[in-house]
Amino acid sequence: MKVKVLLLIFLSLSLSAQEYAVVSNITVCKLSPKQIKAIFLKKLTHLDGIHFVPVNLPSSSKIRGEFEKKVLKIGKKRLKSYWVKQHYLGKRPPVIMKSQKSAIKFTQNVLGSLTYVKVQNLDSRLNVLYRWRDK
Amino acid sequence: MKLFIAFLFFLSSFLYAQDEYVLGEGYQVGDSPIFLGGYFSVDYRKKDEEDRYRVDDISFMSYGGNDTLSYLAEFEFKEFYVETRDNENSTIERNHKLYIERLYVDYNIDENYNLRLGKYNSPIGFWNLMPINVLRETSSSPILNNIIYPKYTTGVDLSYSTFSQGELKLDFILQDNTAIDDDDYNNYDIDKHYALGISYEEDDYTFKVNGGYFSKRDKQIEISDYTYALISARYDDDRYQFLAEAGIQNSKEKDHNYAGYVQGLYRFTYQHIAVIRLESYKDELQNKNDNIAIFGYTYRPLYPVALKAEYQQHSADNENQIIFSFSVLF
Repeated sequence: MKVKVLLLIFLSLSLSAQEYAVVSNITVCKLSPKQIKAIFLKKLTHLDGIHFVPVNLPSSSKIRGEFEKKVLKIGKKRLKSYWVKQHYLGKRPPVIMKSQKSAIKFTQNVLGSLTYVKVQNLDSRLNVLYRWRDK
Repeated sequence: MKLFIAFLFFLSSFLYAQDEYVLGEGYQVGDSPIFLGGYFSVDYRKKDEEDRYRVDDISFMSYGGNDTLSYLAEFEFKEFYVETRDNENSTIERNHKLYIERLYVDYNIDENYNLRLGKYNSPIGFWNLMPINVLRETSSSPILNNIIYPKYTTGVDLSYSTFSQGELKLDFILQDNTAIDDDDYNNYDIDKHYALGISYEEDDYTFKVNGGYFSKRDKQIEISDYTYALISARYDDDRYQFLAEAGIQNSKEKDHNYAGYVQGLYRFTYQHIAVIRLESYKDELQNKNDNIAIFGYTYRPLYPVALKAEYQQHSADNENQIIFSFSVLF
């Protein structure tokens, strides 16, 4: 009985865990989390002749929060301080799209662009470069 | 005239700036790829027998471009207003000259190589890349940043970078010409600077090695040719930062200069930061040597705004001091 209850709890937790993906319209092989982090911090700007265009959601977005926590592994304030320093060096943070829908549309149309989405919003025209769960 | 043109340029540009402005991230001029920004700092220093009030940096910058070609221009008033008082005298100095602090073009050759042409901060050590008050956690910089290498280079910087587990970057610095606006601005008035830098950054760790040669413009002076070397290490996470750097400078005529420091930083939050730095240096040119302990506290109501207090305990006589500063990046 105890085992069944535990199994049920585990199953329900697994089902409630949200899955996300970093997607792009380029057909590069899978990217490591370190490479994705470097792309979104604009430290890695090119690979195999492709110029990357990282696309962010607004800072209030829950998906962006999950992305920064689980993939970038940087807190909001540290990230803010990073981009203020980059401003002094003449570098800009990634472009921001107001919604997941517009981020996906942008990523479909602009070569080298990358963004992050919930997996249920995946589009067949986008390639999944990396997946993660929030739990 | 230079001041007037710069002022007009900034005024006209702000008229076309976009609405959504975030402090510390600059203005975008309309929908163009051009951004405007700047910074300023004021400070007060109290020594045993001297008080100094200073409007130090007032700077305006513009940058922009595309994936291949970009530029950065920065114009600055340095020590705009300095009032010094001691037991007997009070003096006021004003410097209204507008200096060209940085002026360069970047050409992104491919995914590994970038060519920079113009006047730029020499990419040496940690402090010289972010040499403005608001981006430091102490009002003062380590002495090392002033006595080992030239802060500015006017020439070429060819950089090679590659990314696997971390970022490896090489810098080839070349200057063989007179500098832009350096006669009384750079810490060394140079006409030659050849240097190499290697840095590796992975996760929270960064390591750097720099070495080079430079020559002063005035060949009549006793010493004009120098070599230098610097090693640097940094650990930086959300809570702690540790920095250590050591540098040496040689010339044929004199004993070497050396300077080094270790610094520890603790972030209570991103608004409240405590710093301790221990420094030591010997400067043969000025016949000075000193050991310094620095205790600092920084409050940042917003990241691009810094209020700092710092106490310096020196082994040299009459150098103990307290510094308060206020600085903003916009």
